Amino acid sequence: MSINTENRKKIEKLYSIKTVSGSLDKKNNSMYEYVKKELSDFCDDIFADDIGNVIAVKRSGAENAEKIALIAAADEAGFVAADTKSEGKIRLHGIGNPFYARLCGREAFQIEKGKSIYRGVLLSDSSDTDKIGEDSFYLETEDKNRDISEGDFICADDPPVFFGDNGICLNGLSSKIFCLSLIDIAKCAGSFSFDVYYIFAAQHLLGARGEKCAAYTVGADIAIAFKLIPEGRTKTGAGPVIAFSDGRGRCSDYVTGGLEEAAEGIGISYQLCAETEKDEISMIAPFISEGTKTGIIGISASNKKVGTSKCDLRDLRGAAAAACAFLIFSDEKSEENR
Amino acid sequence: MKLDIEVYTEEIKKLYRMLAEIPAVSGKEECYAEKMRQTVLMYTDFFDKSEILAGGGLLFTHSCGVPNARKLLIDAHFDTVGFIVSEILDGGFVRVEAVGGIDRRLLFASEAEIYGRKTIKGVFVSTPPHLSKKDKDAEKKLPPLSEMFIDTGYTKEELCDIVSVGDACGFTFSYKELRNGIICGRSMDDRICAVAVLLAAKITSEDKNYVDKCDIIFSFSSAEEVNGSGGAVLGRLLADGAVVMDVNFGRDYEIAPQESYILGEGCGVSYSCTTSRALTDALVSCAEKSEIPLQKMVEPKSTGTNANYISNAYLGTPCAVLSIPEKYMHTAVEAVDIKDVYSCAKLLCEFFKVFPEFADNFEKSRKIIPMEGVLGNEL
Amino acid sequence: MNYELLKDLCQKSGVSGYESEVLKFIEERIRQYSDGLEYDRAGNLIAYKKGRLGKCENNKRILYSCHADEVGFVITHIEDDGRLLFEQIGMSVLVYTGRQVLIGKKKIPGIIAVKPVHLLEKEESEKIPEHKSLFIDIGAKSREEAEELGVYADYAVFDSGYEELGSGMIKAKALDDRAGCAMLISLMERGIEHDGYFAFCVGEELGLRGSQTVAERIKPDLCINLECTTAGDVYGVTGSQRTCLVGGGAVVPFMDGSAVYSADLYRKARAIAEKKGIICQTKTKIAGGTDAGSYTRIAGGCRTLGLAVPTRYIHSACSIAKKSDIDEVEKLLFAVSDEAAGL
Repeated sequence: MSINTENRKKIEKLYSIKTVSGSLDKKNNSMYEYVKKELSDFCDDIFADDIGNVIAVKRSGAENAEKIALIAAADEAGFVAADTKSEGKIRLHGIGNPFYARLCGREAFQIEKGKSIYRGVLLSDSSDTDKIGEDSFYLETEDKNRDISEGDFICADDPPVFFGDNGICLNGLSSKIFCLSLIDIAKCAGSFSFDVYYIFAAQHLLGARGEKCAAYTVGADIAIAFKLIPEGRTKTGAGPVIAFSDGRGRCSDYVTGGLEEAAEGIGISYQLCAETEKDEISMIAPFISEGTKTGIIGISASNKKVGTSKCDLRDLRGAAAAACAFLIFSDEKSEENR
Repeated sequence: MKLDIEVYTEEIKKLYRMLAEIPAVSGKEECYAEKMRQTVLMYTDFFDKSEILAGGGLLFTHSCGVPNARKLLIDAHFDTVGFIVSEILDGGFVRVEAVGGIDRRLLFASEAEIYGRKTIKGVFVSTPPHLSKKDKDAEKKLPPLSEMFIDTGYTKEELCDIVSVGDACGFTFSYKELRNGIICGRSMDDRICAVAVLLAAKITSEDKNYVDKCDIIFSFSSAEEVNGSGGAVLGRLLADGAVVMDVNFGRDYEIAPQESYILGEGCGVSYSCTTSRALTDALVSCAEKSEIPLQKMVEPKSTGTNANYISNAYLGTPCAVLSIPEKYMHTAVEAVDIKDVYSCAKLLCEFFKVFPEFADNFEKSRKIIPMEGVLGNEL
Repeated sequence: MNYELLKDLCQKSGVSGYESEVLKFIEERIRQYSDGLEYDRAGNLIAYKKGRLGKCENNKRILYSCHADEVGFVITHIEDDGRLLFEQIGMSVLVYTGRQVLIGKKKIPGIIAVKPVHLLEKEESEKIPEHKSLFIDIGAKSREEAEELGVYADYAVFDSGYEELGSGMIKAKALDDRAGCAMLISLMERGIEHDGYFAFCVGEELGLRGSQTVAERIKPDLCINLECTTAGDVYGVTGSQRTCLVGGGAVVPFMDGSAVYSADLYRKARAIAEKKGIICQTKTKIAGGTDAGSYTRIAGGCRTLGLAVPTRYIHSACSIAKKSDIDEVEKLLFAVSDEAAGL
């Protein structure tokens, strides 16, 4: 699969929807608008909650059906205007650990009611490259009509870069790419003997807060989280990665085994990874605390620590296919059990 | 009360060995849950119900048969620290990541086992210090776990048939009896506490004078060493109180008195900001009345136990922490004194008898103006 | 604001984990204004109050929250010579070295002792003391003497009186968050339009502990959280680093380290303030955590509004706040509460 125009457009569209961590809520939610447009013909129910999660449900129609959830982080790193008056500058506070050095000089947009409005440029008033960071970042704007006040969300223009047949450099601000995986799965998978919840999690970068809310609301029996895994033991282009833990969260052998079976069943090569990244925010721990069995599937990405994530679109396709196959095989298993 | 420990010494040793045989590194509890369930049910018939939870933890319930009886939860964690295979290397070496807090100082040339398709043995190795490159300080610094490997003695091809990435590893089990009632082996954290609980269950079930007016739930919980999720799910049981049993530091050469208990001088009860002072005081006065040897500790903010997670999970449960003093935590040579195990078991037996009254008083003291019909989940 | 009430509240002891003294005081004070009152299973004091107009539409649940605990100390060990070893909750060692404390219910006086500066080596006197080298001196000559007083495992608070300072300022311990408690008590005394819940939470300084069970118990649809927040506006600090200003009015934060406050509620609260001529400001630095972190995350999360008093030297013996700020926060709380049903 190469980057044909259609796929490229899909990815660019997704990344054009700015979802700085914390900027979404129930009423103002550009991710909700997007998911609704894509999935209203494929899911029974699509809703947003107070923290900004967007959840799409495909019900089985059975009473007391099992629940399987697929989770992708929908947010991205960005900024919030922290102070617009005391210094005559718009002082920014970084959210979700943006890679400041990369963003200096980039164009900046204000997110207002789900739309992004061009405002100016991101700059730093530190001349020491080691010290560019939160305390020195500000927004330079010539726009006399600007209406930016404290609490407004600002994001950088940092679109994905495509190269070669299958390469993509995602901007370092987001692992939103997996939202596309969820959408693709929802469109192909159809219905099962269990309810499927597609969770587009808000505020992941702020500490898996969206996941915590969604875990409670959904109360899933099984949950599979999609993650970007830094290259190290795994290689970009060698297939999707099935991981056993993401820091403090440890996956269930049942789900991990099911994912391996699914990948083998459809004949795609995959990689195994013991731990995604030490000291990172666990997407699955909030679900485990609600009594859910969890698994992790993802793709290997290089350069993650230096502000971008270079990955292979074939791996992405494989991850979605394996997760979809997991659903299908789970359905067959419960058919057999009946 | 005379503590007839001699009667139970052999039993404690045997039960501990049965429980410690079963490896369950955090994350792999569900693989061993059924085996552990059978082991417990074979040991005592005190519990009339048992179930395996989603995380691989176990729940055993003893129903007293009295309607609306108070529920006492006793928790010990089922999972242990260990390792997880991250890479299979040439020459039959295996690279691992730690699961839970591991003391790397004790790993060099120590024995390990890998739980793959079958359990195989290996030895932890790393580049011999005199051969390591660069830095003359390298000899003084511990290599990171990523530079230590398990030597299995197989070839890479043979190994790939037995072991795969994601398999768990642990210390080998080598049980030893030292002098003065000290026994040592792996996974004392937290199997030795499970021993105390099961012993208490057995003694209670054989006590003809025991008036059964309290439901006792034994939770053998998962994931305590990594994220406390096994404790968090227990909030929904809405027990009237929970006694969390875990090991705590045994007094040793460089450990301060306020941070440790002395082996052999009794069970440990800690005061902390996250446990219920009322429940802890009730446990302490029960021990004092029954003349069970007791030691106390103040853990400043929170205990490093499941009490942190159970106490404010869901609607909250009052917790108290009861500890068995243990030396050399998280190694293959964890050591406890059998007398302390017995003291804890006896204290639990006595506490079963006084708990319902405590729970009734606690409940009464909470309600001031009834909230009937207001919240819908009056508790 | 009833400053006599605030003074009483600040003088009560309520170290995280040992809140019973202050909670008992609050319980007695609000009993006559409550239509439901209980301690939940984690020790939080929760009250239900009927509003003048009865229930909200759709049975919307409104929660007013503050925390009753303060930073303080716990006695961890008694040495043979009668010195007490202790641990602290929520503070930097610089703020308690050499301070006077009161231990337990009996309020036994003690001093957090340090070596006299005259006897220190030059380098030592330039360094921040290590907590390990500190102890509490109650004047006891032996372990037995101290044990008899029952101080083992007891709590200790700063011995710092409530005083008015300068022009319209207050210096006291535990302004964080007794100011919030005082305001919720005032609101209960004044009355509310629609039925609401009041929570006086425990364990906030230990990591937002108590509020988690409150969130599960009440499952609010809307939460208003009262706090004190760090004002960094001391001499020499400029620009956004000052975070908020003492004298700058009620702080309505849009975000802090634990929560993103509902943008909708933030704007509406500021609009209400403008309409009513209430002076307000926001935080220009995003830091600190409050119980809002629990309410936005636990039991599915709910929309939360924060109202805070700008306070200097929070988490110390001598926090300073301005009476006019406290009054503005109270005014804003009342105004928001009146319109809560529509928010």
